Amino acid sequence: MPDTKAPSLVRLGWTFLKIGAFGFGGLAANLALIEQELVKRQRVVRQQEVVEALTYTKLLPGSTGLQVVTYLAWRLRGWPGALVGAAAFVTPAAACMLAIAILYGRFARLPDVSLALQGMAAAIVGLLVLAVWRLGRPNIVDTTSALLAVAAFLVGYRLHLPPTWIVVLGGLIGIALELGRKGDAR
Amino acid sequence: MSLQLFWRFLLVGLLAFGGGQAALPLVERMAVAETGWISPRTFADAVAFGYATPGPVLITATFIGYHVAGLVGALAATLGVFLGPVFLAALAAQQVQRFAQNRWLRAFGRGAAPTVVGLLGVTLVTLAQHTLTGWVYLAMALVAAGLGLTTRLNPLLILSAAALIGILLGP
Repeated sequence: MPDTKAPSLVRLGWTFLKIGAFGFGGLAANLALIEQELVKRQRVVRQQEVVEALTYTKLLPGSTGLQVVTYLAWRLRGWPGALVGAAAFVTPAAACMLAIAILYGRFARLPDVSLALQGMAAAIVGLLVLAVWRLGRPNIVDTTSALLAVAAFLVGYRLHLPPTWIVVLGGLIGIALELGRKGDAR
Repeated sequence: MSLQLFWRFLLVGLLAFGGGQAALPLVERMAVAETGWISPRTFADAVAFGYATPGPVLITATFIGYHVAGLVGALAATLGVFLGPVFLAALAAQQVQRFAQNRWLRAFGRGAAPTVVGLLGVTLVTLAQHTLTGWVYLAMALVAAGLGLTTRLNPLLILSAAALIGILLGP
């Protein structure tokens, strides 16, 4: 339910635009900014609500930072708030990226730019190793999940199956296992 | 083309169990392996820019959308990749725990998340084959991983340093 002392839609949009513009460096940085702005400065959201937003949106597919923003914006101003908040939060990133994409088309083949990009691409491989580790630790918790990950790797690497099928298949296996557990428990 | 960008990215967004980074392998498999819209190198660049810009990493979709179909493509891909997650998050706020803690949604997520980790492995191998073309680049990747794991350095800093080293190394 929207708060009584909720900010106007314009104020809410402006706040999330600012957070979106300075949220460099992943989820933790974005959460810190959200707390600083909404909990400590404007006092329209309680700390507990941020924790709640994070807890629930983590279970959902998609960018968690954006979802925390959407969740809190909904709490403040309902559906219009959620749409304005999410759009405002994404706008700075999208504008930056659009500018980069336009420049990339023009300059990516220049020798120095191409070398810089090659260096960045190497670092990205390193950062993706980290991503495997960070995603793997909470999600690969037993033999079943380990087998699913290995199977997805092999199928993805060897067969040209659409990736979405592999993920949906994994999800259905998860549901089948839950059905089996239900049979055991009751 | 823009319509295809929209619904393909919509699907990617809805299957990203585990957060924005979980969607990266889906984006790579979809845009590089399945459709051939971009090369592995361009994908690596797009992800680097995704980390370097503020906000969600999945803003990579904007780059790919523009690359494939210009401004309209950028808009279609951006809307597509974020629409599902935003809708679900608002729904979760409305219904609070009832929806996000739904038993079957969680069971689906428990099965889907490990497959995303496996697919991220495939993406990693594919990118490594196309970007780590010498020992120096392999070393840079390892250092980047080490720094990310042991320090709280901003990825933007790591990427800038890597770009500089790339230029200094020369062809």
